[in-house]
Amino acid sequence: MVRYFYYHVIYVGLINIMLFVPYTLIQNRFHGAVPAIVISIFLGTALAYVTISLYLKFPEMGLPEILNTYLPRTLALTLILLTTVLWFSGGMLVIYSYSRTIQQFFNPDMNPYLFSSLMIAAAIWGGTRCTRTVQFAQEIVLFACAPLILALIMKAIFSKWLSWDAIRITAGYVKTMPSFLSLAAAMFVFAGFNTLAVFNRLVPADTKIRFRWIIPVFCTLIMLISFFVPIGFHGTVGVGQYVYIWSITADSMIMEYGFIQRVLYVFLLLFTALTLMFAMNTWHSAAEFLKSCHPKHRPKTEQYPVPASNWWINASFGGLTLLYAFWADDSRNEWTSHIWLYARFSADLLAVVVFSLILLLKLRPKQQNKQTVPKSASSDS
Amino acid sequence: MISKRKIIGVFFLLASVTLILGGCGFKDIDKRFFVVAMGIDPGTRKDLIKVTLRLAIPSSKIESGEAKTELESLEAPTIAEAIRRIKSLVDKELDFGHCRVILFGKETLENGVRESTNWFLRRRDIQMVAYVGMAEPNATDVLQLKPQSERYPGNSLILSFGSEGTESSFILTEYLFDWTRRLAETGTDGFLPVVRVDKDKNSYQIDKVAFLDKQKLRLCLNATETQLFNISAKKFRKSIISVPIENVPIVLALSSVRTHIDYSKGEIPEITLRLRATGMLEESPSKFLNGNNRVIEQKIEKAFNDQVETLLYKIRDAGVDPYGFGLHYLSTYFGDHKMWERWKSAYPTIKFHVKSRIVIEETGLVE
Amino acid sequence: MLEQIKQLFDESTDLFTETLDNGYWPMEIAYFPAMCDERIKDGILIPYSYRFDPDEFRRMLHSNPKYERADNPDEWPNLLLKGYALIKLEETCYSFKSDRTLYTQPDETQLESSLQGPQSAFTEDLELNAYLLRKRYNVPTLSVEPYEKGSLSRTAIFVVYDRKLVNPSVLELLRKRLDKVNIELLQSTGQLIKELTDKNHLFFPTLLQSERPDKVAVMLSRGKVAVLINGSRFALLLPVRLFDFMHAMDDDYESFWISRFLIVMRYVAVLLTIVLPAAYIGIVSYNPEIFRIQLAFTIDGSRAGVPYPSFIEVFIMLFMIEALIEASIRLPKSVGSAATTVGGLILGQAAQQAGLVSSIMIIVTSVVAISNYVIPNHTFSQAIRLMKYWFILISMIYGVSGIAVLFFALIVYLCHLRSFGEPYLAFYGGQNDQKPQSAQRKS
Repeated sequence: MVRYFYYHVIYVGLINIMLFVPYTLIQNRFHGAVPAIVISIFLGTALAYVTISLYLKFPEMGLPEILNTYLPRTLALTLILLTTVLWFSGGMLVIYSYSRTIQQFFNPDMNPYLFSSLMIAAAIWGGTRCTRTVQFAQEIVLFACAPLILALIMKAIFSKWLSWDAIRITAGYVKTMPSFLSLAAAMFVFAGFNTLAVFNRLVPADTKIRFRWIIPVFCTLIMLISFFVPIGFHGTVGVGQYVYIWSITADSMIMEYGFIQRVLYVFLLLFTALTLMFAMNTWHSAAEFLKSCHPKHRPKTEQYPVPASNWWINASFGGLTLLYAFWADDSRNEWTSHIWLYARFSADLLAVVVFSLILLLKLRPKQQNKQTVPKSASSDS
Repeated sequence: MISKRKIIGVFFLLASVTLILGGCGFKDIDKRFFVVAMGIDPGTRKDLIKVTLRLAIPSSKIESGEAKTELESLEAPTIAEAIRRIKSLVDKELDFGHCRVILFGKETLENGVRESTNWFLRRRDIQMVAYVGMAEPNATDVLQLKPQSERYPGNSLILSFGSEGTESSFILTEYLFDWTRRLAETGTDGFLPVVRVDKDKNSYQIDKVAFLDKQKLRLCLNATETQLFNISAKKFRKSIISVPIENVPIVLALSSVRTHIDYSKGEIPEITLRLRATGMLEESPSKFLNGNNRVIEQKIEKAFNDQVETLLYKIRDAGVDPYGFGLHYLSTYFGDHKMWERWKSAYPTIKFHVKSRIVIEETGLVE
Repeated sequence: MLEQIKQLFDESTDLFTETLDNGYWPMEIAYFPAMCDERIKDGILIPYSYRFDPDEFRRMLHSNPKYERADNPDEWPNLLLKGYALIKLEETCYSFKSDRTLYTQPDETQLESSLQGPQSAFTEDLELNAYLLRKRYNVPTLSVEPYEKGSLSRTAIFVVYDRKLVNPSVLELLRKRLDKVNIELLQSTGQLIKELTDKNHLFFPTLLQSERPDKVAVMLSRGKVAVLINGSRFALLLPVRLFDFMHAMDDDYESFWISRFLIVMRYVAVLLTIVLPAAYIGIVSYNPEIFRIQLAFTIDGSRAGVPYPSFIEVFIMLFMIEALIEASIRLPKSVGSAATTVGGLILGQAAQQAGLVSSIMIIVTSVVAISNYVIPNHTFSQAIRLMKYWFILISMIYGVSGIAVLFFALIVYLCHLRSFGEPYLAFYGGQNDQKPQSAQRKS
């Protein structure tokens, strides 16, 4: 089961490209992005380690169960609702950004809402599934994507057109003051561990999540690639002029003997899968959070057939996303993404604080509680 | 019940599909006109730009010399306007998706090139891996040529520029993304391969390179110098070093090139370009210099050093830096701004040292 | 007894009823001669007639397992219809099992033929099938549960599993579903599949049909359950995963690398057969810049004379190939090859020359048709055959990007399916996977 956890870490790390993370970092490349990356590597790793350990203290319980069990009802409800908004909007932003990218590079003449609707429909379809299905699908899709990811990374790193001089020059700006926005953006790459908020239900009791070094290694690698490769391809100055920075970067590579010549299309295909995976996961989680607000709700990881409530919740997510697509444009989307990145970063910190408090205040004095409560929760699931 | 609903749904879907198709960019391949190459020239008036498009006319037969193309050129104040006007001249929708070659006329580059490059960056359908080149005397003349060997439209130029077809040491490859990078980057300048029409009007002649600074064309190298540049800057392997030793022509075909750039630490930096090339003797009298390879190597080294140094000074004096010496200098100091100021003042009078190491791996099939 | 039986089978003239008398005992006998075989002579008539010995005869009635007491008159018509002979001696009724079996040797594989593996297949006789299975899976833990389904056909069913390996929750679910089966004539495994699966399973089979005893044996050893039906030469296997449908028995018999290669090739073929026609539309009509410039011009050139948009072209060709496939199933074997030649070669060639379809499209169609037959399982192959039309539809509206999105949706759908509670598409790992499931079962 542990391997499922690392899939989340990997694809959440990769999806950063759709959330303006490289763009934000590159805009600030001379003003604090590089130190922010360095800080985020340490902070992100630490947060991941701590949060994972905290979740493992509550075996087979998701975030809503933990909050509902140990916190007063109103506080728990507020926190769960906030989390719902946060998770849902993550999927929403990614879907919007990706639809924009596709509209730019794949179907320029298509009505933009037409493609958004397709993405939304697919995300609803994914989000309504039960937790186990989502997990299985994630594994399969990620396996299908792995060759594409590898091809892209290999192509990028071993390209002779990659200017290591430009990368080195940018890396030299490590001594600037780190900016908070860059830090929040960079921290996103490490955010994959948060998926435990729902998927912890599927982690059986007394599982040890081993190989945690995968998190710092993979996420650092992803971060460095997503920040430095565009700089290497477009130079320290030229890189600043592009909005769809990674699409342009992928387009700058060519597979002379490949079946598809332009790496851009490999990139777009890959991100179709990753975007939908991310949207499926976030919407599924958000729906689970929302459902757990109902006092009589019992979380289930296996539901077949799909309950109607899933459909309603996810359909309303889809409707909201469509509304967002009507309202947003590139600059508004960037603005919203920045707010989202801030909020997400704060939520990460808050989660650690809340969980630690719960552990300190509730579990220590009542030792018995610690044993009985998780058990009853797990048998419910 | 469900299945009935589904059947109606599918039927409805089928019916609506045909309606939607109009609004979503559905356009069959045979209703598209593929632009295979594009040329930018100055117009007859000063405020006009002449845009030349080479359009592919597909045919089911693919044979050498059978490729048919149509040339459309038009003058307008901007590229975008010109393209729109050309659209009214042709019967199918223009598609830039396969535009792999972009040529700038020599005169355009002499006038400055930044504005026209901008259009290529904004258009999503222009590939960033399109080849860029300079056409001499102008892009229209070059694009007009239809080489005999061309199997499908535009094939010749694409094969010449890329490494799939011919790999000539005189042809430099420049992609659109690299070209725009060099236009913006501190410490390095752009270069463009120069495309001319061969005298027999049957093929392209690409054997020169043009250097530009951030504004306009500064220098054109001749063929020999172009090859030297290709070896020393691009580490191009399949090239030759040809030097006369004691009035005997000696030609070394290279198999590997490595370069390394050193800067002296002083207030005014000096550049040492170290180059290690291995290769095989292709032209040499038998038992030349008693077959002592080391002696031959040293003589080639000496002559080669001189050639490259002369080239470097020539490029420096033109005020361009296509090697990216400045960028590399900056990167050794991790982008320190003070160093960049120092570099800018030092470059016009900078000193070059070329230290090459030539290794003759084999002498061919004879001694 | 005879009176009762005669009343029940009023107009069945093929029923043989008689009261025999050998001088010592009168005996009432009733049976369907058409349903019984020669054993009736050795088992009843000879001992009763000229070799009669009352003691021996009585001993035989009690010791021969073919004889059973049949005291309940309600059972009688049932027994008679199953090929039993009923006798009444000294006011006691006995049944004698003497059903005729037409099959005495295993069939040859027809749908799942193998090159070097065993060639024997199940027959339409349940007993023989059970024998074939026992022969290959020779352990005492092999359990057989008999059922009888179909209000008119009263088809015998065996549920076979290895008691040590089987997942009890699957078995329980199967029993529950079997109880609910309500069908008049149960004649093929396909009908049972429809009854056993949920209505949601519209596209993909979640039960595997196989005619190969060796395949069933392998599956039994993996803890799966087999359902054998009298009168059908296919066994049902459950629960199954998608990978089982893509697995041919030859994969187990070939050397390691060959079988890996074949499996990979099969998945590539599935991908091609689903995506290729859709991709053709997407590339021709939306994104001709995806592929190399040469390919674009080749397609462009070959499509130059085609008057329709790409999707009509695709539909024309796909209709032709589907009709051809359908026809070749019905056609007698001797005509079959002629039809294929006319349809495939001549029509394709002519259609291309007439400018109705492009030559690339002919290649696409052929690849699609051939790839579809690479799939080892027929049911699954049909599902895949249907799948490509969804992709064509989406590709008409959205082009290549739509295909990618739909492919994702397809994977989610497959992962969402359950075959008797077990995931249909999922990589399995260690025992940990089982854990949440067992927790699930309790709830």
